[in-house]
Amino acid sequence: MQHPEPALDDVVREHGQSVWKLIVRLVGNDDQDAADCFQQAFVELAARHRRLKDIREAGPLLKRIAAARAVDSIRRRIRERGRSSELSATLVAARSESEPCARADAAELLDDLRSALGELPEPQSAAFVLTQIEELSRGQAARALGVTVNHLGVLLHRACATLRRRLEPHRPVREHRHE
Amino acid sequence: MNNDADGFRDSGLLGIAIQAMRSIDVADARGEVIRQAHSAICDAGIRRRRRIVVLRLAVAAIVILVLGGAAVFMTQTRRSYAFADVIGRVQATRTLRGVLVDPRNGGTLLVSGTRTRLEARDIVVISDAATGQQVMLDAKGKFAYRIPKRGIGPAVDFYGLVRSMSAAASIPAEEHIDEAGRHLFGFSGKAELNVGVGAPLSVDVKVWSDPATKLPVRLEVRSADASVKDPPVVIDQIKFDVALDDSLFDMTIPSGYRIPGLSRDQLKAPPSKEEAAKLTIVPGVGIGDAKFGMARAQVVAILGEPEFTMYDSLLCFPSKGLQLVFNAGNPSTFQSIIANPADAASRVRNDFPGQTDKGIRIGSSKQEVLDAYGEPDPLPPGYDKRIDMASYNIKLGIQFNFIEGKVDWIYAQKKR
Repeated sequence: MQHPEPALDDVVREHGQSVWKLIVRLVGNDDQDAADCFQQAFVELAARHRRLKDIREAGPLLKRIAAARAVDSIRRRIRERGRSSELSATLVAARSESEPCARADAAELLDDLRSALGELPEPQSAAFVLTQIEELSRGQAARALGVTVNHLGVLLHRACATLRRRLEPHRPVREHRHE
Repeated sequence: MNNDADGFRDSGLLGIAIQAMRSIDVADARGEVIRQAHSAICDAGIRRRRRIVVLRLAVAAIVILVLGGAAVFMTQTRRSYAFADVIGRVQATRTLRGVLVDPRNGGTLLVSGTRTRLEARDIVVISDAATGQQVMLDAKGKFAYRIPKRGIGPAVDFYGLVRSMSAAASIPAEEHIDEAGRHLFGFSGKAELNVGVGAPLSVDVKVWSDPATKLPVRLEVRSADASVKDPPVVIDQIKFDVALDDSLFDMTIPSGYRIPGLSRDQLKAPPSKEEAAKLTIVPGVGIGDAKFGMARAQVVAILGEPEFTMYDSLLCFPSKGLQLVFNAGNPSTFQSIIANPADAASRVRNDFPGQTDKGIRIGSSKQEVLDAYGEPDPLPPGYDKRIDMASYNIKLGIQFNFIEGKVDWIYAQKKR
């Protein structure tokens, strides 16, 4: 059965806010960088529009594209200004860590997580973002990436291994603080 | 600490970081952001069937394969630098001049509406997408060619292509500083060029624009196939709305130039069956009694005087659909055979009536070629896969090119 081509306006309506939130979380702000990523994601999706058979495919694919553009933005920012120091801690409202110290720690962690995502190959960063931040199932994420679920598992494993190494410097500080 | 939808769990710092990122409270996208996305999609939707901006000019004297250049403009969404703005500004121009940077075919590119002119060393190619006409002038040899459409795409409408700018995604590229010291913003991305023959060509593209005028200044197009080692096609120093005289695009053949090849009324009748039977190409050996390595006089004694010659090294027999290539040595010797030549000078000719030693003719199927000659040589790195061919140049010294699965062109040479 031939599916009708999804109407892109419907895609914006249905997925726009969730894509925006993903981008803001990854980029760390909601200013022009995020808006640029948002627009790029939809333009790129439009370019792939003909290949979409079902509007339900659009969400994961769009998030994959958005993640890639957001990580590109992080990379660019790192290149341009050195390690980002402007991530706003006010955006961080960790449910279980609401006191100022914990917020600052979380902001530093997020800062390092973003930097580390920028260092990962795109398939790895996309696999991580889709499954860990967006909480898509591995099947959905694998389809968005165009890989098998097993391959996705490999990408995710590698991504997590790299990210854990990159976040390791935080451990002594935190342990010291809680002693 | 953290589980994904399929049970992945990380109880360490990574889990904390994931949780923190998920917990960031984000306000809904502003209406303006959504409207911009709608607008960008609208632009892309209109243009998605005409995705790429490409300028392609044929610059070839013998076999028409050489591209003058390719230009691609892509979407961009950087702040104060909107894609639609760039398109609009390009559309508002009427002419452009650019420098095609290419060590082999570099030159000056001029565009006026649907007409283009490429000046490259001694060669000038003028084309008009509106009429599909292309003319090449070889100032050195004083040859003029009216380039046939066969085998290459029709003349490309540069501005038409600009209007159909790609909706391909782009990301910021490294800054480029031009000769005037201006810092140009760049964007890069992947695109597919519809160049008129075969499947689209996947390319990596970079475009840099002047932050003041927001018009493209430099384009760089490179094959996305990593095995292709060719340098990128670069069009630099692009200036819009330059004064270009109409005479630059005049396709009248200048006096003093001659058009090689024959007219229809000059073309002789095809060879008889008996004559055609003698035209048997033997890979690595020659054709009929004419063997590779023979001197010109020996070959002429066997096949007769050529109906015309080019560059003193091409003996052309259009009534036989045949071209013989000699080297430039002294003495000049017979090097290779082209059956059904596709160059501009051979636009008027008969089909090659002969055959190969294994009975392959013009019009034989690809399967018949494979059955006769076996597995072809491996394709060389960077081979343009849009060209359908079976090459036995290494094994035997012969190559077959196909159009729609049928032999359209045969090349034979002394075995390497």
